[in-house]
Order: sequence, then structure tokens, then C-alpha cells
Amino acid sequence: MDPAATRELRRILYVEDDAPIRTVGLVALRTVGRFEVVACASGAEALAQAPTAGADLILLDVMMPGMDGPETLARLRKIPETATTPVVFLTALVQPQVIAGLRALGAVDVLTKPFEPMSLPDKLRRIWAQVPG
Amino acid sequence: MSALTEEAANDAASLAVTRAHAGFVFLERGMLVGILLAGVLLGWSMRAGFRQEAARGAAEVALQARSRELRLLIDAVPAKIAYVDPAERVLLHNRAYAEWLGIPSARIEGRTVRELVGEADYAEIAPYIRRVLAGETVGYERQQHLENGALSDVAVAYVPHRSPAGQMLGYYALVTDITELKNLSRMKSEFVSMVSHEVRTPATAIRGALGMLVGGAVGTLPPEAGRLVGVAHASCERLVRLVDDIVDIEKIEAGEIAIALHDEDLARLVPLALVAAGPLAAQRGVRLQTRGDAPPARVRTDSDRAIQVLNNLLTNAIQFSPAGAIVQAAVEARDGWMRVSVRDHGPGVSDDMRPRLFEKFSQDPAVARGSTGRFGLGLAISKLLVDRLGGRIGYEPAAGGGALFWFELPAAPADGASSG
Repeated sequence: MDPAATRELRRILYVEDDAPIRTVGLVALRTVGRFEVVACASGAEALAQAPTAGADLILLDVMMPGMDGPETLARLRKIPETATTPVVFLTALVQPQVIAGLRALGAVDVLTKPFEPMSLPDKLRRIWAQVPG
Repeated sequence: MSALTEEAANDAASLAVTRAHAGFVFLERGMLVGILLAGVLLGWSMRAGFRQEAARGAAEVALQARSRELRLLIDAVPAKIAYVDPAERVLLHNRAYAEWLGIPSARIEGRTVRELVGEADYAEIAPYIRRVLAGETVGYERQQHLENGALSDVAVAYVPHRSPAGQMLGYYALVTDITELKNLSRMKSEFVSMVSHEVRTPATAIRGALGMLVGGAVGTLPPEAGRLVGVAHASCERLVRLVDDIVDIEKIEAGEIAIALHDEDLARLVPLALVAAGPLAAQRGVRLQTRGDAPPARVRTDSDRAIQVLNNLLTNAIQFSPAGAIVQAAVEARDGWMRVSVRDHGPGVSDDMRPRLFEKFSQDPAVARGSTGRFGLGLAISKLLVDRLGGRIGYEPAAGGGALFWFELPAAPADGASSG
């Protein structure tokens, strides 16, 4: 059964440390994608928001100062509300072995930067459609 | 030791001169002067020495003096020089060689290369020694473990030494320390990578923001504003591409890109590349076509890299085409090679430009300044990649005007011999 048919992607927890890119991503997700978005500037902020964000999906930057994407993911998994929330990584590193490594951490998909803001929402919806309900 | 040693030293000096003459890239200027001087003086010293050989007696004394002179001279040369016999014993070496190895001179003479460098390093250099003793002049770069535990980057040249009758007498080793050069090269690469990354991040944000404005994400812009934002967006696209290209070329030149060879059909890759180039072609009002029906063209290559080259050729062709023109891609077999060609109906390439076409940032002086007059890095990257793929790349004027760029890859072995 197609889970997307029963469950729509509505709310996204978006973690990106670079402010201009965060703004672009935010507008793309809200205005183009019509999603509800909780935007965070760091892994720590994401952990603080996680219990109350009510996110269907987490869009997580990989390279961040301090707590990076993989570490943030590991900690999000220990928070009951985000223990099984699908996570999509965003990374500027495009080497196949890096991407395979990120998937192995439990991400449902890995998107490469720079992302095309106009098509980002569609990409996330396609990923969401593949996530087992 | 005298006869062989002197002959060896004489040849070593002429070797040094030959290498210097050939523009041996790693020699520093001071070293070059030293080697040239040593070569000239040694040549003179040896000829003078041999003339006196007839008159023994007093000549014996003179010869010993010459030997000392010779020792002084090769010791003055900053390049590391050694002469090795077919049993791989070091018969002659200079001070720089001993200092570099960190082994006292007295412990070097007569010992084998294997004893001097140790098993691990010997295993690495043994193939080169076999080649030089088979008569081949050998050049290579490697990292050498020194006695003090440090690692030293070296450029090494081995030149075989034969008797006039053709018997193998040994070989000369000329070792140049390029550690500093390698460090500088690494620093340059790191700097370029760092700057590229720093530039790419804000450029990406600008491009994303402008892309949404152009795409109408936040409403329709007034026509004039739309045109300005369009220019800004296109320029930013160009900037990001340029930075990506710089990162790419650094990686390729540093040997940091992995090439994974497998059997591939070039006729399958062409449509993929055409699809990827579609949006740019549409934007420029250029039509993309495949010429003729492409027969299977089996090659052994890295598909991603082959597509990257093809994309670069298509991007160039589209950018140089007038609106409404056609760009054609074709695949054909040519004497053991499979050729992909891209033909456009643009201005072509001037004769002045042709020799520099595949250099970085080559620019055709015959074409007006502006985006269409520059080849940027695309062709330079393509050349580097095609070289790595074992192929060749070229240009020729297209019949009836326009440019025809092509690249060729070696055809895959016939069925049965190939591996999936």
C-alpha cells in the first residue's frame, strides 16, 4: 500500500547553519512547497525543538560547526518524538562513498547541495512517497 | 676504483648536464649552475687526466690528484648522485647522497641499494632498477623513508651505463629532493579548495534566491525587474559553474578523482548527455540532434567521466551557437577507437586559438569579449579527463562552417575478452 496516499508530508524540521541558505531553503519549503517549517540554525537547536516540532520529516545539513549532521541524527534518535522520523541529509559532498556512508547512518535519502529551490519540495514529496508508513 | 669511478663520474656529470639541458623541472637554479660547472670541469679534468695517462710515474700522482678534484666536484653538486653496478652495489656517490640518506659515506660504498634503503623501500624501487639494468632510462617520483625517520619526496632519474661493446656496466641515479615543492603544491591545492568552498557557499545562496524570483515563487516581477534578475541569475549560474570547474580541475590535477573503468556503450551515453544539456539548449534556442543512427560503440571507460566530457563539449557548442541553430552529436568507430563528436554552427575556432584550445582559460582573441568568447575550464577539464581515460580529444573545423570537437576512447576488447 502506498503510504503517501494515506499520509501527506506537511511539517518539516529544517536544520541548516548558513543563514542565507537557510532563508532560501525556508522560502522554497514554505512558499513553493506549502509546507509548515521549523527552521533551526544548529544541531543543538534542532535537539531542543525536536520534542515539540511535530515534524513528519527532518531535513538535515551534514557539515555544521560543532555538532554536525550525523551526530545530530544520532542524538535525534534518542529523543522519543524523533526516534523514527525520516531524515534526509543535505550535503555538498558528492562522492558516492560519502553518500553511501550517510545512508548507512539511517537517512532515507541524501540530497546534494546546491539544491534547486524550485524543485526541492517535489523531491521531498517523492522521497516521502517511498518512506514505509 | 679509479678507472671505472672516473668514467662513471664523467658520465654522471654529462648525465647531469643532459638532464639540466632537457629542463629537468625540479632542479633549482643554484643546483643547475653547480651541475653545469661540475660537468664542464669534470669533462676537462678527465680529458686532461687521460692525456697524461701515457706518462706513468708522475702521471700516477697527477691521477690521484684528479681523483681528489673529482670527489670535491661531485661533492659540490647539490643533486644526489650515485653510480650502481649490475649487482646493485653503490660504487660511487656524492656527499649530497650520503647526507640525504643520513648514512655515513664509509658505510655506503660497496653496499647494495637493498641494504641501504631497507626492504620496504627496495620493494618499491626494484622494478625501476630492473628496467634501467635492462637498458631503459627511467624517471619516477616517490616518497623515501630516511634514516632519521622522516619522509622525503624525491624525483629520481636512472640512466643506464653500457660499455662501448654494449655490455651493461651499471646505472647512474640522480635524485632530487622535491619535498618542498610537493608541500607548496599541497598548500596551493588546499588554498584553492578553501577559497572555492568559501565562494561557493554564498554564490549558492544568491543563485537559489534569484532562481526563486525568476521562477515566480513569490509572484510575477515587472518586466524590467524580471530582466535584471534574469541577468543576475544567469551570471550567478556561471560563477557557480566556474567555481565547480576550479574545484574539479584541482582534484583531477592532484589525482584525487577516482576513475572506475567498465564496459560501456558510448551510443547509450550520448542521449543521456543530450537530455542533460536540454535545458541550456532550450534557453538558448538551440536544437540538439544525434547525427545518423548510432551503432553500439563498446568502450572500456568511466561512464560518469565520459558524460562529463560530452557535457562540456555540448555546453560549449550550445554557447557558441546562434539562436535557432542545430548542434549535432555523433558516434562512430575508427580503427580501434570509438569517437564521439559534437558539431555546432557557431563561429568556429580561429587558427591563432587552436594550439591553446585545451589550456585553462584560453580565450579566442578573434572573438569579442563576453561569455561566448571564453572557453573557461571546460575544455581543459575535458582534456585532463580524456587523458586519464586513455583517450584523445581534438578539434577540427566543420565542413560548411562551425566547430567540430571530438574525443575518442579505446574500443573495448571483442566479446569474450571483455569483463563486465
